[in-house]
Amino acid sequence: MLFPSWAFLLFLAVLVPVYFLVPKRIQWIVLLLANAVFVCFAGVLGAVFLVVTVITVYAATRMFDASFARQKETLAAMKATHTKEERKSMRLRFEKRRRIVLVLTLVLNFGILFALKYGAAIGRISANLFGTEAFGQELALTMGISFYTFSTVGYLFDVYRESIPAEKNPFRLALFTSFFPLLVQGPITRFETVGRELSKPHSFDGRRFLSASLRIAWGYWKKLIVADRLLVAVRTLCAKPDAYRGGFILVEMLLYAACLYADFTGGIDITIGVGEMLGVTVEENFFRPYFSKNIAEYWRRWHITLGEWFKRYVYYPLSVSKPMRDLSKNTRRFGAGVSRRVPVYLATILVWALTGIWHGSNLTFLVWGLLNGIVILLSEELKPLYARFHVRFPKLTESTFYRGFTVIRTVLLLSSLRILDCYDSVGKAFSAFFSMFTTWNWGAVVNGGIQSLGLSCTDYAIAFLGVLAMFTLSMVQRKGAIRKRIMKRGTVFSVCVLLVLIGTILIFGRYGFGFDASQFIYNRF
Amino acid sequence: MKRKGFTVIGILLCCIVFSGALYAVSRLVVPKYHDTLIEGHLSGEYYRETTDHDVLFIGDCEVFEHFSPVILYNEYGVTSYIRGGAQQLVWHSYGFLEDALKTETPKVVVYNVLALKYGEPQSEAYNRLALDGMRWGKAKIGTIRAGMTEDEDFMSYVFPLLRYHDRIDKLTKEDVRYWFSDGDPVSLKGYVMHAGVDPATEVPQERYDPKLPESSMAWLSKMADLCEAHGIALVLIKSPSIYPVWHAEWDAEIEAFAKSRGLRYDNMIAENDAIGIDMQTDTYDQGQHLNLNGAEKLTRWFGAVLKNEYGLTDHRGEAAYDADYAELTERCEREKLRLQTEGN
Amino acid sequence: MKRTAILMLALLLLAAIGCGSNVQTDDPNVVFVDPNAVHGGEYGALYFESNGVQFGIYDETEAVLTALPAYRSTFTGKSCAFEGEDVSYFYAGFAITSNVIDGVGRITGITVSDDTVKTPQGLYIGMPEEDAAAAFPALRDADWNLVDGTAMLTVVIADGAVKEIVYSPAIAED
Repeated sequence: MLFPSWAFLLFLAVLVPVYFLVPKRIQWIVLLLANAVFVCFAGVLGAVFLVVTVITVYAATRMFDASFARQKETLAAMKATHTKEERKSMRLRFEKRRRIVLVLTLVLNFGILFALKYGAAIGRISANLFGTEAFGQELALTMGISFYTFSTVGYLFDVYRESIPAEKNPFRLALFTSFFPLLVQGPITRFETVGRELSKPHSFDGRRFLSASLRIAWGYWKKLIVADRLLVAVRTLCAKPDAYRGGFILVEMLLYAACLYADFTGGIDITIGVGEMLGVTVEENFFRPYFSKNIAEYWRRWHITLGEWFKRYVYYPLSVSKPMRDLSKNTRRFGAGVSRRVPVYLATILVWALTGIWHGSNLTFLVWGLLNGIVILLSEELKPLYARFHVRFPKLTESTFYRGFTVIRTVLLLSSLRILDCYDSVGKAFSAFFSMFTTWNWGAVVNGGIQSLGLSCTDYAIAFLGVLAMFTLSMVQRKGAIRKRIMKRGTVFSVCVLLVLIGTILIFGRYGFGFDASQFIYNRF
Repeated sequence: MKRKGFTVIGILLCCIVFSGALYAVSRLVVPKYHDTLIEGHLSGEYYRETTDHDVLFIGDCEVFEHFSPVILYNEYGVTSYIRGGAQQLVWHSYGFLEDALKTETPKVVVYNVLALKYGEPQSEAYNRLALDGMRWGKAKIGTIRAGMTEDEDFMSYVFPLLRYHDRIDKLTKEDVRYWFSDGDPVSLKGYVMHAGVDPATEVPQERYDPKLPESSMAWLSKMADLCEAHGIALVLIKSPSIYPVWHAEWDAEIEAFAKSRGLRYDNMIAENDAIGIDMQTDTYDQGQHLNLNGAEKLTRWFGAVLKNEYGLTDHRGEAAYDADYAELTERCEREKLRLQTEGN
Repeated sequence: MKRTAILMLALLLLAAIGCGSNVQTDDPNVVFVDPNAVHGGEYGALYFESNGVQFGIYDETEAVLTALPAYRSTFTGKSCAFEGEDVSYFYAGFAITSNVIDGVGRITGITVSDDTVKTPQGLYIGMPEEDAAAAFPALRDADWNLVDGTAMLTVVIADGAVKEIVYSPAIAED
C-alpha cells in the first residue's frame, strides 16, 4: 500500500475514526489489526518474516529478563556461601547463555534480512568469481524489513544490556514492530519511546488532528509536486550513463539532491503526521540537513535515526570492546595519537561500511559508505588546519559568505558521493563523475539537453518553485516550528493553509493516470 | 461559544471557497472536445434532445459517420438518434442503451457489431471520450467499472481533476471558451459528417482470432435481453467498410447469434451493390469510413428497410418533430456548405 | 525576512525569464543530439531484405523507404478520433507498417504477403512445415515465435505449410 494511493488514504480514513471510537483499552488491538492489514496488503510472505522477527525477539528478550532475575537471585544466594571468583564464574555463565541467545537471534533476523536483500547479489558475485551457477533468487523485498529489523534489534540490545525491561505481551511487541507508517521508510524507532506510547490509550484532539493533517499534506506536497517530478529527469539521466555525461552529471547531482530530500523528508513527514494523528510521537529524522557545514554534521541531521542506531549499537560498543582496547594498547608504541586513532578509525570505517551495505547489495553502496567514512575522517584530521585558518581569517570565516560557501560545498560533496547511488557499477559512477571535468558540453545541456529529460518547461518551473518553497520554509523554521506558528494563528487560518496545500497537490502533483505511483526512494533500502 | 461558532462558519466558508475553486479548475482542465477531438462531445449531446426517437443507433464510428438522422426523417419520417462514439466498445454501447432507456423507449435499436472483436478494454483515451460526457447514474457507474483499463481508477471519473490536472500547462483557447459552456452541438443528432474522398486501394493483412471474444458476446447477449425486456426490436448490422476487415468467421458467428435470439442481422458489406456504395467515391479514408455521399446512400437504403420491416410511424407533419428536424436540416446544410468551403 | 522575500522574488523572476527564453541555440555549430533517440533497431538475425536493403523492426521508416524502390501503394489506418495512426506501405510480396514513436516514424511490422518473396531466414509463404523447421529449427522450438533483441518473427502454419510470416516488435517482459 503506497502512501500516495487511494487505498492508503481510505485505510487511514477508516482507521482514524475507528481508533478513537473504540474503548481506549482496545485501541492498541485495533492498531495491531490495522498493522496486520497493512502488512498483508504488501504480501503474506512479508508478514511471515515479520512474525518470525517478533517471536524470536520476544522469546530472546523474555529469556534475558528471566536470566537477569535468576542471576540476581543466584548471586544473592551465593553471596554468603561462595567466593568472589565463584560468583564471577556464575555471572559469566549467565552472561554466556544470554550472549548465545543474542547471537542466535541476531543471526536469524539479520540472516532473513541478508538473504532477502543480498542473497541474489551474492549468488551473482559467486557466479562471476568462481564460475558457479548463480544462486539465490531476486526476492521482492519485504516491506520495511530493513527498518523494522533495525528497530526491533535495537530493542533486543536494550533488553540485553538491561537498559530496559522486556515487554511481557508479545502482541505489544508485534504492535511496535509492525507499526504501519514506519514500514514504508522508517524512521528507525526505539521501543522505549514509540513502542511504549503505541500501547497507551489516546484521546482525539481536534487541534492535534489538524496539525498532523498539515504535516501529512506537506509530506505529500513534497513527494508529489517536487520529488516525483524531478525523479523523471533523474531516472532518465541515470539510465543512460553513456549519453548523459559532462554537464549533465552536475544537473543530475543537483536534481537528485533536491529529489531525494523531497522524497525522503516528504515520506517521513507523512509517517510522523500519521503517528501524530493517532497520538503517537515518532522521532524526527531530519534537522535541515542541507544547511550542514560539513559531512559529519550532515549525517547528524540526515536520517538521524539510522546514524543514532549505528552509533548506539555498533560504534560505541565496538570502540570500547576488548579487542579494540587491546589494539589501542598494542599500537601505543607508535605514539599516543596513533593509539587513540586506531580504534576510532576502525570503528568509523566499519560503521560506514555497514551503513553502505544497509542501503543495498550493490558494491556501489559499500563504496559510497566507505567514501563517506573517509571524508569524515579526513575532515577530522584536517581540523587543526581549519582551526588555524579560522584564527588567521576570523572575519572571513564568521561571514555569511563563508557560511554559505561551506553549506554549498557540503551539498556538492554529498551530491558527488550520491552519484554512486545512481548507477549499477562503481566504474560507471566514477566515469560519470569525472566526465564533469573532461567533457565540456554545457552548450548541449542548455540548448535542449535538459528539455530532453522528460520534463517540460512548466515542470521545471513548478519543481523550482517547490524547491524554493522548501528552502524558504527551512529558513523560516530556524525561528521556530512552522506548524506551531500556523496553528497559533487560529483554526480557520490553519484549515486555509491545509486546503491550499491539498489544492496545489491536486492541481500540480504528479499522480493519477499516466503517472507511475512511485514508492519512496528509501523504501528500497 | 460564540468564538466556536465563528470558527465553524470560517471553516465552512473556507471549504466552500476551496470547493468552488477546485470545481472551476476542474472545469477548466477537462477537455472540451468541441473544436478538437469532437468525438468526446457526442455522448453528452444526447441529453440536449427535446424529442424522443423511434430508432436508436448504437456503436462505433461505423454508425456515427455512416447514418444520417436528417435523411431518415426527411425521407421516411423516422425519428432517430445515434449514440455512437470513437472505438465505442460493446459495454459502452450497453451503458448508453441502458442510460437512454431511462428517458425513452425506442421501437428499434440498431447495433453495429464491429466492436465485438474487442473483448477487453483497449484504451483509457477512448474510455474518456465515451464516458466524460455521460450522465451520472447506474448505467454510467456500470460502464466505468466494466471498461476501465488497468491503470485507471474510478475516483478519477467522479473527480475529473484527478485525471486531467496535468493539462494545466496544456490549456488552449478552446478550454477557456467552453470553460462553463458546452457550446453548440458538434453532431447532427449524433451524426458526424465527413465530405472528403480518399479512394480505397489495398489494405494491410492482419492476424485475427476467428472466434469473437466470449466477453463481448456476453455483453451483446445482455443487450438483447435488455431490448427484449423493453419490447424493443434489436437489429444487428455490420456497416459497409473494407478495413478493419470483417472476417467471414465473425460474420457466421453473429449470424448464428442473431438466429438463436430471433434478431435481424444485416451484413451491409454484402449489400454494397444494392446500396450503391462505391469505395472509390464514398469513403474519405480508403474504405474505413463512409463520407457524406456514402452515408446518405446507406441511410436511404436502411431507412427503407426500417420503414418496411418495422412499420415505423411517419412523424412528418407533427409540429414538435417538424420544428426539431427543420432546425437539424438547416444545420446539416450549413455543415455541408462549411465542408465544401473548408474541405474536410 | 524581508531580504529573504526579495531574494525569493528575484529567483522567481529569474526562473520565469529562463522559462520563457528561446532554448534554441544561436550557434549553428551546436547541435544537441537527443540521447533517447534509438538509431536503428536491435533485431539481430531477424531482419528482412529486399532489393539489397536490409531492414528490421524499429528502423527509421524514412531511411528504409528512401533506400527501397517506390512502394506500390500506401494505406493509413485511422484510429477513430486520434491521429498518429499506422501507415502501411505495400511492395511486391511484402508490406511495411510504420508508427510514429517519439516523433520519429519507425517500422513496427513487416508482413510477407505472397509466395514471390523469400525471407533472409529462408522462409516463404507455402513452404512445407518440415522444410521451414529444417531451415530455421529455432523457430519450431519457440512455437513459431522467435525473439531477437527488440524484434519477433512469427510464422503461422496452416495445413502443413507456412501461411503467414510477420516481423513485429517483441513484447517486453515485465
